Amino acid sequence: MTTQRRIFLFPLLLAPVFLAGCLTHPQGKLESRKGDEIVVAGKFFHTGAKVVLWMDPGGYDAYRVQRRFVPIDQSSWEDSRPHLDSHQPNRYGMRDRNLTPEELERVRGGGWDLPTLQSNVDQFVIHFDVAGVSRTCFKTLHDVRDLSVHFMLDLDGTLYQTLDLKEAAWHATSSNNRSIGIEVANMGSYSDSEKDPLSSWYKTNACGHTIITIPASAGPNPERTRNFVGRPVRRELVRGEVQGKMLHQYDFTKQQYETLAKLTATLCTVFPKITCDYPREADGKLMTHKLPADDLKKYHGVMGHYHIQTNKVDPGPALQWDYIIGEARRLMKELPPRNANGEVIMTRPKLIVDN
Amino acid sequence: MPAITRFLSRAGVLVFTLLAARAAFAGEPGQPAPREGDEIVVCGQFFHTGSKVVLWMNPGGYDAYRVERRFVPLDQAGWRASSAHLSSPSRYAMRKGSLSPAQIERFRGGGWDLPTLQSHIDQFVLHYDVEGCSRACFEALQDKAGLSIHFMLDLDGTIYQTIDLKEEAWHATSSNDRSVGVEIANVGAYTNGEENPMDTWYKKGADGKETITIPAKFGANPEWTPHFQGHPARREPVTGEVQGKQLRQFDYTPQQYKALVKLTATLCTIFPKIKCDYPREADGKLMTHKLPGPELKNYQGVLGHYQIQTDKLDPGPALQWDYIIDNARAILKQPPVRNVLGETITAPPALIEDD
Repeated sequence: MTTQRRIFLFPLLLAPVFLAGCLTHPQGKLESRKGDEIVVAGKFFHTGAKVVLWMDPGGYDAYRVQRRFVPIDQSSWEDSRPHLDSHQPNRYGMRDRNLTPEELERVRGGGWDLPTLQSNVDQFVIHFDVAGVSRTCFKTLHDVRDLSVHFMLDLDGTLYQTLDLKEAAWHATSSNNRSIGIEVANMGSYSDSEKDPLSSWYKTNACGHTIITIPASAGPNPERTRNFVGRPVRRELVRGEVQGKMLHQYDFTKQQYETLAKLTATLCTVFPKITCDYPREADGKLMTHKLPADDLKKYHGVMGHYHIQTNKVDPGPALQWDYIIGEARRLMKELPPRNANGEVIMTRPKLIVDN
Repeated sequence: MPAITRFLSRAGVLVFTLLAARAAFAGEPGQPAPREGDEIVVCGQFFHTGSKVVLWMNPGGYDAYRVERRFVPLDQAGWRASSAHLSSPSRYAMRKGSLSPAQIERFRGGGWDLPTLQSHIDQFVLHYDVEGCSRACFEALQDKAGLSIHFMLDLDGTIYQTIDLKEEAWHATSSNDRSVGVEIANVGAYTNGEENPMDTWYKKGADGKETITIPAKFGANPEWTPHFQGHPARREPVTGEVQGKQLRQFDYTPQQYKALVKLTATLCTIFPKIKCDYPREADGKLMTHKLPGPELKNYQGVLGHYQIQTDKLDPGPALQWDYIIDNARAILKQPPVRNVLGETITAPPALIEDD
C-alpha cells in the first residue's frame, strides 16, 4: 500500500476511539478540556481563546484567603489581615441585587443557576490594569487591595479567570453587582504633565518597532507564552480625551485584541442582557466620560471603567472599541448596531495596526 | 485503486472531516462544553466516575472554599460574625508533605499539577458522618467544626465533592496530607446501652423494612433525589467489634454501596499509589483497630478512620469491605484479594442485602 493510502486510512483507525469516547466513560477516565473554556455558574463555555482557570496549574485563584506572593510563612489569613486594605478574608462578594429572600437562600454559598445569573448580569466592564502584566495585577488585587476581577488578559493574549462569574468581583464600585470585569494588561494612560512609567516599559528595537520590555521587578517570566515579546498594535502613543482630559497611552497588543473580541462575543452570547455595543453619544460616537446616573442605571452592554466612575480613565483613549464590538458581532453572526433612525452606525472596521 | 481501499480512504477522510468539524464547533465562542454530571475534579481536571456527582461549583453543591457559614441566617454568615465561632476562615490547607521549597512555591495558591499530586496521595479514608445526611454533615463541618472533607456520599448515592483533591481536607489528623476523604451519610455505631439516635432515624414499616426518616430540622427534602426513601441494606442493626468494643450500627444503603464502589475504582485509577485493598491482619481478615504507627506510615490503600485514630469508630462494623474492594477491583480488572491470599473466587461478592 502506498504511503498516501496509509495516511488516508489513519483517521479511520481513530474512528472507534472517537465513537467510544462519546458512548462510555470508564471510571477514572479523564474528560479533557480544550483549554478555551470559561466557567459560569459551574458550567463551562468555549471562547475560542486560550484560558487559564483559577483551578488550573499556573492560574490565579481569587477564592483563597491567603496572600499569593509574600513569603509563604507570612501568607496565612492571620498574618495577612493587618496588610489588607479591608481587613477581611474575602476579595469578592455575593451578587444580591434584585433577589428575593428565597432566591438569596438558594444562591448563597455559590448555588447560582445559569438562568437566575443571566437575568442578573447585564454589563461587561473593561479596565487597564496599570500593573503591566497579569501576574502583578493579581498581586496588587489579592495581596494588597483586597479586590478582585473575573478576568485578567495578559500581554500574550492569555486569559486568566480568577472567579466563577456568579461571584460579585470587586472592580467597579456601583456596577460590581451586575457586571463582569476584565483587567487588560497595560501600563495606563497619562496626561502630558503627569509623570509616567511608559519609557521603562516601551522601547524601540533595531527595526523601529515599539516593543514591550517587562521590568525585572515583575518577576521571572510572568508570561504564559515562552519568550513572548509584546508589541502595542500602534507604534506611537495614542492621544485622546477621557473625562475631558487629554491623555496619552500605548495601544494594547494584537493578541489582547483577538482574545478580547472572542471573550466579548462569548459573554454577549452567554448573557443575553449584555448588548454587544458600547455607550454612545447621540451621534453614535463613543462616549468618553462617565454616563449620567440615570443612563448608567439603564445601560446594559460593554463599557469602560470610566463610563462608571468620574475618577477613572481606564481603559484609556487607545482602545479600539469599534474593532472589539465589530469583531465580536461578526463572531456572534449579529448585524452591526443601528441608531434610532435605523441607520447602520458602525461597519466592521479592521484593527488599526502599524507596528 | 481497489474499490475497498478507495472506500476506506474516503471513509477515513470523512471521519477526519467530522473530527475537525467537531473540534471547530466546540471552540465557537459562547458554546457550552457540557459535562455528564459524573465527573470529579482533580487539579482542575475532570474525571468520570460513572456515578452521580454534584460539585462544589454546581447549583445545589456544597462549597468548602467559602469563608461564610452556610446555614446560619445570611446576615450572620460573613466572617465578621463567623469569627466568633470559628478559628480560621479556611477549613482546608495546602498539602506539603515532603515537597521542596521550589515545589511549595509552585503549588501554593492551588498550582498543583496531576503528576506531582499522584506521587503525593496514597490513602482513601472512609468515614461515617454521624449526622445522617450530607446536608447536615456539611453544616457540622463548615459552620461548626471548621473542618472539611473532599467527598460526602448521601443516602441516595449522590456524591458531593466540596473541594479539589489537590487540597488537604481536614478529616483524619495525621493522614490529612496524604489522603482523600469521604463522609458517608450514616448516624453511626454505638455500644449497647449507649444513648443513640437510631430510633429516630430508622423506623420499621408494616412490611418489616427499616426506612430512614430524616428529621424535619434538616429542612424539606435535603436529598438530591426527590422523594427518596432510604433503606439500610440489612434490616437489623449489624453488630461487630471496632477498637475492641462491641458496636451496633445500621448498614449503609445499596445506593451508597454502588456509588462507593465506583468512586473507589475511580480514585485507585487516578492515584496509582492508592492500592485497592483494606488493612488486613496476618490471616487476611479486616483489621478492626488502629494500625500500629510504622504500619500506618507505610500503608497505601483504602482505609477507615478507625485505622488511623484510636478514638474513632467510623465507618463502623456494618461496612461491607469485601463488597467495596472486590467490586472496585473488578472494575480495575484486578482479581479479588482473597485469590492473592490463596482462595479461588471467580466473581466479586454480591452485596449482603435483605429483600
